[in-house]
Amino acid sequence: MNVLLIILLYLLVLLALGWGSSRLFRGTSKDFFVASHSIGPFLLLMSVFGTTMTAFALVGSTGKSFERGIGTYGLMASISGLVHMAIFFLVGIRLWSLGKRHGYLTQIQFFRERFESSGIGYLLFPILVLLVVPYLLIGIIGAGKVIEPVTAGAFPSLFVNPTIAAWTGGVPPWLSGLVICLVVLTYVFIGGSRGAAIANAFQTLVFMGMGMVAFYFVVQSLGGLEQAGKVPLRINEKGDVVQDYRYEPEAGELLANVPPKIIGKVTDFSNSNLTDTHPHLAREAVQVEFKKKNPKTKELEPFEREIGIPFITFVTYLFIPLSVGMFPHLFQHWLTAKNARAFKLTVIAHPLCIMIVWVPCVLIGSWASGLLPPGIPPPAVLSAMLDLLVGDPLLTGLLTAGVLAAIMSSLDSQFLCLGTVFTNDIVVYRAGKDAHSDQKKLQIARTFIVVIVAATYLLAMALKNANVFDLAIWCFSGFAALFPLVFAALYWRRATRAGAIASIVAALISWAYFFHKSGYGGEYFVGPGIVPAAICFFLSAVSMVLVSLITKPPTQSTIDRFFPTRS
Amino acid sequence: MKVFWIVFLVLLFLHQDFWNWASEEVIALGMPRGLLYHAFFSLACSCLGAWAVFRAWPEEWEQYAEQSPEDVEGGEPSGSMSGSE
Repeated sequence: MNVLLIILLYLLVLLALGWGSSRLFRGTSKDFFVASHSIGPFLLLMSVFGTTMTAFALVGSTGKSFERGIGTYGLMASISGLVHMAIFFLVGIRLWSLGKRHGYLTQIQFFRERFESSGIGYLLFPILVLLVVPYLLIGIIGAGKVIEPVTAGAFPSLFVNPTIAAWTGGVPPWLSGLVICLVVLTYVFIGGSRGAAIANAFQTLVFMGMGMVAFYFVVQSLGGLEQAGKVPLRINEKGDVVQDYRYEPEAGELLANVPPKIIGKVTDFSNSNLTDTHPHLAREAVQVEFKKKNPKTKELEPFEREIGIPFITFVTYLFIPLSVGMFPHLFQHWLTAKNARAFKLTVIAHPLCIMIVWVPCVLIGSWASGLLPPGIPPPAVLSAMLDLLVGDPLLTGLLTAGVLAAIMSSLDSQFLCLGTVFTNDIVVYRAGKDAHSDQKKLQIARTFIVVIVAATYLLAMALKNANVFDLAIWCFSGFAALFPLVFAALYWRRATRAGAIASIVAALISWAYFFHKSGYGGEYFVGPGIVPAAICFFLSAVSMVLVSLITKPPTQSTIDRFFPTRS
Repeated sequence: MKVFWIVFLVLLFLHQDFWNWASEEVIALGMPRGLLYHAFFSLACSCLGAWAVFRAWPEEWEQYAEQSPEDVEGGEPSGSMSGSE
């Protein structure tokens, strides 16, 4: 019950912030869509960081590290620090400048003028919506999965049909999803992009803080950092995978397992170098067979897991963070900047913010491999570790608030972005920019946001058992495949309308092909472990270059307009 | 900008630290070599960002955004790209 009260208190604080930010709202559509270009360096950093980090930052990183080990940090976090920083500097500032100079509110407005094509907008609109919607689903489904277990037992007579029996009485996903949607909708509806930026800044501070608090308590319980480093599972001389320690909650201490507890076996132990190693602390790929209980038959069933990361996967993963260059909601955040100087803090501090959030979570995930049963669902690892090592409802409530903060700080920007894109790129564009009054545009945007929230909520409930984290990677892959479009638009004068369309079509077809091959959202690699995003990116880039070179170049006025400097 | 691109490419290479692949040695603060290396890599990314901000800042783009439409060849959005086109 305490957990639920903390969550409710957190949501009330958010609503109060939304009300507060609505007092700053100037009543114009420009203020609603891009906060009248008034956001300063700190708010920009927090809102951009909060938007790019979903629940994956806390829950997913811990779970992935539990599966694959510390290589998770290099795979997803440190490369994002490099690529995101470069994109903010190389792409973000130019887009902000062109957006402010020419009055763009959306990506599509920029692409339509840069490529002298109305049609490119109609082609991009459904693709962007198609890729943003799963991203929204991740948030709503993720929120439901987080809240139900931590509130289990709160309402035993009211909620009698839980997802699993142990969670009887917990707030069901349909209700938590509904409440989260309504809270986000409220502060976006009344505060627009400034409301979202302020709420994002607050939520980013909350989830960064909660990650560090969770880390502190976990380290304390394990007896310090040095001791914690010995906890991850080990491979013994026979190729058995063993846990050397266990945690006794009653005694509150870490005890040695004598003899070590066998939990699995290396499937190919021909490599003698594996003896006495902790595979979660390195990146060498090792296939291990574990057992887990089937919840229906109650029998132990074997399953295989690859610990570590194949080198080719590690290398090709660098294409995934390119997605931020094409996120429509991030484009909108960039445009809220007061001036170009507001980007400076984001360019410098973004890699550090990633490090502050991800390093503790990755360490907790690798330590968890030596303490938790291997069959536990990866998204449940962080809360299970806190439950085992700390067991404090106040801390669990605060951490849950942190996870919700990470989720909602992405949801708000995406809802707002879809409302902005629909209003400006479809309704206003078709009717002509003077056909609707400013108030009417605001009304259309708000109505569409309500519709998209409702539709997304219903879709999330229909797909509530989907693996949300695998879905996230597919979402990022789609945006990454479109990155050549924005890069060529900004850096290559010769990029043409036909080249742009070819690039989009190549990205779409290749992405759809691999998505189909993955079974619509599962983990999928090509050949020896190549990430599909790398191939989609390559095809998109090649299409852009080849088709642009054989088609008519853009007009001189367009080149003058988008390449005003010599650089 | 050339320096930015060169350092970016060097960092991209340094990210693929195959020399740490099999190491599980815990160096300091309970952090294994591979993780500590990538934490320092994040610091290096931040340093490159700081260098870019202080030494390669795109002043011309900042000025372009702030100029009035008449000051710049190419001018304001033409408004010719409407849906009725």
